[in-house]
Amino acid sequence: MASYAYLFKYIIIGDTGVGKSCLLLQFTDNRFQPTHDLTIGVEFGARIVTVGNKRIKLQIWDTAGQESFRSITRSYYRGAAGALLVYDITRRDTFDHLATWLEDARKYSNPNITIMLIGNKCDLAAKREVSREEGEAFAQENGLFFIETSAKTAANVEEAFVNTAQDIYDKIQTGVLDVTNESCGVKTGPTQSGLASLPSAATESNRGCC
Amino acid sequence: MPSPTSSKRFIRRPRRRRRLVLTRHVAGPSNPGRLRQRSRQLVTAKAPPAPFPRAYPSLAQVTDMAYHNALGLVSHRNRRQVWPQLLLCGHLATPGHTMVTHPDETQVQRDIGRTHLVLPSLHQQVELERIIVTVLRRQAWLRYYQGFNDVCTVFLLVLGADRALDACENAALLHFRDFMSHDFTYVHAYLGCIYTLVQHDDPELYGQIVATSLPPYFATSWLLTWFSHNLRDLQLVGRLFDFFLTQSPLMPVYVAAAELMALEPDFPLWHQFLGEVPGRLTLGDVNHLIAEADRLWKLYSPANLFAYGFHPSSCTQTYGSARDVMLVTMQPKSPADIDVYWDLADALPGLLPPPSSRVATKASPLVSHPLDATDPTGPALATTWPRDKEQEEPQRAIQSIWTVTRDRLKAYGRRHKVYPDNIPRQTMLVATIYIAAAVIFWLQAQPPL
Repeated sequence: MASYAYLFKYIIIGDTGVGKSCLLLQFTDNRFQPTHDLTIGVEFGARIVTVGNKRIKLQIWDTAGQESFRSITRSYYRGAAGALLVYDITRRDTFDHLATWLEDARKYSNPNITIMLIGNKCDLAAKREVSREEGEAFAQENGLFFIETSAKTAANVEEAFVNTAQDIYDKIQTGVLDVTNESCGVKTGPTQSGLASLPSAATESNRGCC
Repeated sequence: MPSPTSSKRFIRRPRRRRRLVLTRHVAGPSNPGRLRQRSRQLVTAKAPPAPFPRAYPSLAQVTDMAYHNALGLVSHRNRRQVWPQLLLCGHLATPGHTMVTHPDETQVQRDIGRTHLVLPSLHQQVELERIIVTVLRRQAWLRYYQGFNDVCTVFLLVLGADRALDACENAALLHFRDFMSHDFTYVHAYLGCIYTLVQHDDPELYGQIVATSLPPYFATSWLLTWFSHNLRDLQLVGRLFDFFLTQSPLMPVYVAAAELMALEPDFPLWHQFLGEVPGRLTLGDVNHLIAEADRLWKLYSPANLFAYGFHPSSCTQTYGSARDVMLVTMQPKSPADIDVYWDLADALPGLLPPPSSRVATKASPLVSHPLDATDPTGPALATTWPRDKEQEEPQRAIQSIWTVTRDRLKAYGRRHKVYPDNIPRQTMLVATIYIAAAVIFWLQAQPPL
């Protein structure tokens, strides 16, 4: 049940309080917490999705947004295949800081990383400070994917993660990403031959009998 | 659809993981006797909580109780009496860098509703904000970090609003100021110390960590908040704070290392698993960790392990003199009668004096943190993280060549009953070739000029 064809590593970045952890919680647990704990350092979540008839495990690193923590979160860029760059549509400043986040992402990550720009909290239309068009324009200028989500109502949350996975999967199919190179953030799953001896795979298959 | 928890597992004893997370050393082949004995001591200590000395306990009494008593200082009433003394409240002279508004205040406002221990009333949230903002305005050279709000919440809940302000300020100055500089250099240093301890106490586990290149960042919140970001039970947090307040600011590193070594390793989901562990700790586990940390402290005291590394302005270096003041102020008489001050400005030569004019400016940062002036070329803290992988390989090659040479020489000496001073020329020649090869390896690893 837990077998998968590929494993993709994601990193979620963006200013503090934009809803990074809530997006992850909605995606992995289908829950929403109006007052989510602060993320101190880096937290982690995982889920399996299906893309192109393949089961793909997403391993997601959720990072702290405060600037002091950047030196810690930077070390997670390198092994990531996908980055979700999140801003809050009700706070202009979080949108204005996108450039510095992007700069970090470009500097420290793999050049073939897929970046999805996410305008979160789109359920709060009355408080909107950043229009959808502005988000789209920024994404287009910088070659990013773009989507507006709401971690509260779960709108587009699934799509944000799956569309990123789709692009990474396409890159593997076209040979842009090398699955044997772990620094790309993609790995073949334990069902593939040759990797079955991994300890994680061994315990996984043993679970049924003991 | 699998939930993230269902995919966690143990390599060795998958079924018993949940309940026996902290029994690795007890059951393991290495030093079984000592730990079992330690646990027994703790059980006996747990039986009747020692009576709390009524009037003005001494520092030695408090330190002993915070370590040996299974419930620490037992009640919040005792804590209200002792914590302010352990934090030198009323006996700490501060340099007086004040500011009308601190640049981090908007961040503080956002984080007030996001503390881990829930503040039940809106009134307390307002108090918490007032406390943090006042601390930052009074000590303008300190920066706020996410997690400091959790620390202040503990002081607010235990000590009450009127005592909490001074306690939070002094806690920041005595124990947390290394994390409150303009960058997190020292957070990395503290985290690296955890791995250094593991390397010394459990080389096998350290080898596994290196092999998976797991960074120590799962422990960030453990150190930054003294585990208060992970635990839900205020009594448990209080018990840990009792211990930490009577110890050097480096003690949380030892507890974190003890926790790491008490667990069954499960790569590669370790980060996630470790992040969740402290939330499941029980009082017994916490006491076990404290005993373990104490054992580590005695085995690998920071004076030996991190001798030259810490900056003189780090709170680990100045704690000794703060403790000397505590020895004087915590005596069997009323603290109000003792007129002793510890001047923080004396302890921090790197801290610039406050501006002569009393008119505070809004410019940020007003005063630089003494640790910001750390000379990057100076002696680096001897921690094992962060490590540069590229530089690691040739060093290992040299190491192995050296080990092989040494072992062969030893074997030769044993076989021919010769001592190092009369080793034949042939052997010396072999050794020289090995050393030359090592140098060539090393030179190859250096970047081209």
